[in-house]
Amino acid sequence: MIVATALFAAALVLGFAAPRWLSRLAVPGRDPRGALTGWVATQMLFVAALVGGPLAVATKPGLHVDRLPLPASCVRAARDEGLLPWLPYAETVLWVVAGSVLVRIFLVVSRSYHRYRRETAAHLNLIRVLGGVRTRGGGEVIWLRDTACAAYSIGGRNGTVVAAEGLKTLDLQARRAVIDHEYAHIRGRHHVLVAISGALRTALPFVPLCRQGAPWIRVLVELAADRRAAQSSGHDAVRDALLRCAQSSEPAARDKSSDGYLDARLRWLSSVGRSDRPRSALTRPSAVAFSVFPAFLTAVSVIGIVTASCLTV
Amino acid sequence: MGLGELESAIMDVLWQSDEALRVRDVLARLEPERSLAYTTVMTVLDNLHTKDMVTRTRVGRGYSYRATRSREATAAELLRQVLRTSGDAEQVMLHFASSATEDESRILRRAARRTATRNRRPLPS
Repeated sequence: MIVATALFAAALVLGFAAPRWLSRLAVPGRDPRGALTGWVATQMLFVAALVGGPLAVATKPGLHVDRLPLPASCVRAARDEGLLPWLPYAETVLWVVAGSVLVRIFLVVSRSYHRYRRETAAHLNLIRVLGGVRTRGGGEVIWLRDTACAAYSIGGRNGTVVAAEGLKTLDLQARRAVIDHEYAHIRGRHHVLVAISGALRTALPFVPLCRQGAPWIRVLVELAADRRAAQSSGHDAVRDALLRCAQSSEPAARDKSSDGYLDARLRWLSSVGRSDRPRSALTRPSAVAFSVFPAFLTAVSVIGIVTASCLTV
Repeated sequence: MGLGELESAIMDVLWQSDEALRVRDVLARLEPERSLAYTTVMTVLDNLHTKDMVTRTRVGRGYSYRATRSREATAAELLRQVLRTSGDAEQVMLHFASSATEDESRILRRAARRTATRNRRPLPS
């Protein structure tokens, strides 16, 4: 029960408080992959803690150990002496709450995943019939006969970049930047991250980590792809491509919020360091550590509180 | 917008043809290694008609089919559709564009503003 309570408390802290500190990870000039890793790792930890809670109640790991640690032996003695009559009810409540949340997550995520697979395959079938010339650079690019200055990527095992021929009005370097941006999405498995965070948002919209995580992850994958494209094709090429594609997009598709979004993206891009390879090796591990620490602290605090209360009863 | 594998193959046949085709014509023009039943092709054409991908005209007891839009027009429509759904929570195609939802724009602007405020703060002497 101590382990289950610690995990459940960690899940609550992550679910309701984590967006406060995670939103501070994204700062222009800092690698957006760090913030992206932080959000994704925290969402994974949140689900893992929710899975671990009912599992600990069901398996009672304390019963399988010969020499119990102090908190567990204290709680066991208190329970055996009838000092904790409410314990079975608390276990049931914890099991039901965490269990129903998990079932909901499982149902929504699996439904979204199947729909994603089906729609992606159907979209690719149509694209392959519609597509004109195919070129190969880092991978396959299917060119659609259209004057729009646009490109998009489809995730999956055989991720594909689809580009409109209108993109050919850009100079070679800017065109390369657009394709690099899309390949960064495919290599980083950004489609999966976006799909899972979207499904979590649908499953648990009342949990701030899930509700706020989806738009954050969408934004961060774009910034990460911009950064990757800037490193391979140059800042100016990405900047030119963003501005030219924005100018040529349909006025109906452009609104005030989109203009603000473009400005913010350009500001982020201008603060990308020209060479940050040595620091980038530490970006992801430190983001994971940053996500794990509050959960660890919560779990340790819960165990400490349980021990202190048990020993003073 | 998307199609199944056989639907795509049949649309390809219709787009390659200048004239309306009957079910048996489509069947004959599909790749020879596909041993498909007449009724399978007929059902798929009927599905495509429901999806407004093909139009049909009665010819005797059956129908002749042709693509509703040209290949180019369908490509343009598909692209517009993907771009229009930018930021849609259900949409998992990521595109190089300047549009975003209000939520996404707000997040970016707020983070950028926070940094600007921090940078303007005077350094301790």
